[in-house]
Amino acid sequence: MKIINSFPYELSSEDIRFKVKDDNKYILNLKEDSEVYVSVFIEGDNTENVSLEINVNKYSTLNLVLFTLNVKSYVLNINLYESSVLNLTTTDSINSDSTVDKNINILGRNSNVSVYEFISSRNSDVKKGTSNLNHFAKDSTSNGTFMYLSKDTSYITRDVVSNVIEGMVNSTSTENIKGVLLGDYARIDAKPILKIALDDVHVSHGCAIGTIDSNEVYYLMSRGLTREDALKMICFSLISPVLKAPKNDEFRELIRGYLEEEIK
Amino acid sequence: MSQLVIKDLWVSADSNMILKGVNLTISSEDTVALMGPNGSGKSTLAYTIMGHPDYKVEKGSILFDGEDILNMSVDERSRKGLFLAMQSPYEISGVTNRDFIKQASDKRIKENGKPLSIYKFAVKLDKAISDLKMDKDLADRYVNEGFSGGEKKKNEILQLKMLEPKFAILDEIDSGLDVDAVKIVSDNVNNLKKENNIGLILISHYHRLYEYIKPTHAVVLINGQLVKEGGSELIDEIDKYGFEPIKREAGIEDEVTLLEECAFKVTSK
Repeated sequence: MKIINSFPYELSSEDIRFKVKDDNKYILNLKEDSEVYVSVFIEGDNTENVSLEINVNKYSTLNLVLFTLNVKSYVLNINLYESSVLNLTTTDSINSDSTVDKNINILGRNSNVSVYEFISSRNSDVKKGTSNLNHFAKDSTSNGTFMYLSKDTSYITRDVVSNVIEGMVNSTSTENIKGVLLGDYARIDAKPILKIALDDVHVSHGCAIGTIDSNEVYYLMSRGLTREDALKMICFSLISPVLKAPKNDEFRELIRGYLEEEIK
Repeated sequence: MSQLVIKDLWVSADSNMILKGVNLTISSEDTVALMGPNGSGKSTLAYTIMGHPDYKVEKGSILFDGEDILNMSVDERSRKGLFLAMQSPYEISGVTNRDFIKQASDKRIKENGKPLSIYKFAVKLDKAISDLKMDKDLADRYVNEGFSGGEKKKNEILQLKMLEPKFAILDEIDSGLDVDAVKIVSDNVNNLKKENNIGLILISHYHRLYEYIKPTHAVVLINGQLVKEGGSELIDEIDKYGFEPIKREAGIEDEVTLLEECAFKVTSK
């Protein structure tokens, strides 16, 4: 994994890692007509007001795994230009309150976005923020899966917004939110929001928040798994798409420890 | 030889008494057809044996190889050698079939005190998938998610083959399967019976399954009570005449019939 400290940085298929500081902005660019698979490890120290911008230029495909560690507040802006594709898997690990706002901005037509976001909270932490799928161009598609896991007395509050502005015909957007509560006092407020300014679009949303399905636990136990193993397996299922996404085993093993700690 | 002994079993769900004093003894050499009209309590009996929390045992006992399993948790019963192939298997998103079956296998199948090696497990899984003529990619798909009805049922039998229980209850395993798939599933169950000598309880509404998997005897459950036992001729009799003659013989009247009679009497007055 390459450690970088100079920005703007041009993305390639080499995984990167960098440290962030309070109130700083970091820019990553993917050049035109390219396709990369890259994992990015961003490390802070309870760092606040970080701004991260990623530009996916024309005719390019970015398969990105984004992991942030100990970043207390940041804004992520990903800008997609004409005929570009983004496959984003994103998650964070921080053992305190945090605020994360993510804006996926489709700026060029014929662009496609697919997002898998996993956020977990534990102890009495509050995790808040917004995930916006902004359709600022015609003929664009966005699909988002948003998985939240709240434990102990923690609280996750997030708005997931599909925003299709006037004139952006032939847009498609779906957002699916699943929230799992582990603990009698754990809370999740997740709002699936559709802001649609025209008729010629296809949008849908779904949101299901609850405790782990007792039938799923029963099914696993009926095959010999203990209750503890069954619960662990179901919780792990939330992070398995994150662990499968990196191409590089080194990166996968690096984030596995943090994620396992999150859901333990 | 394993033995399952059910004694005077009374079970309720949502405050309704469903099983009312069921007595049944099955050994691992038996293949029992558990028959009965819809709502008679067949699945309740299956789930009660397998410890589903929605069913409350009010009275009675279930002994498996001499041990009362009612105090055991679901997973303990499973590791003891019981298996329920479910009528409507649950979907578990994010958990692959392979990971799930490997972990379950590790809990149950030991070679020299150790779980099967990854290689041996993979070979065994590949063979089981091939025996069942399943798509190979089903092993790496999430448990039952997006599976057709038939694929889900085959997946139950896949787990049965991989986990090698002493006793299995197959609850409507033929529903959702096409004619060829019923034959494939039946062949696999028959082979398992031959190789591992597992006790079987079959629940099905269709005579076809009993043509492929030959029961050693049949029992009929109506209104939560076992009202008749017999050999395979009983299955033919039910296929031909339905459950009405057995109900009459046992002096059981449908609730609907009773209500109709009451309504008639009220109207007559």
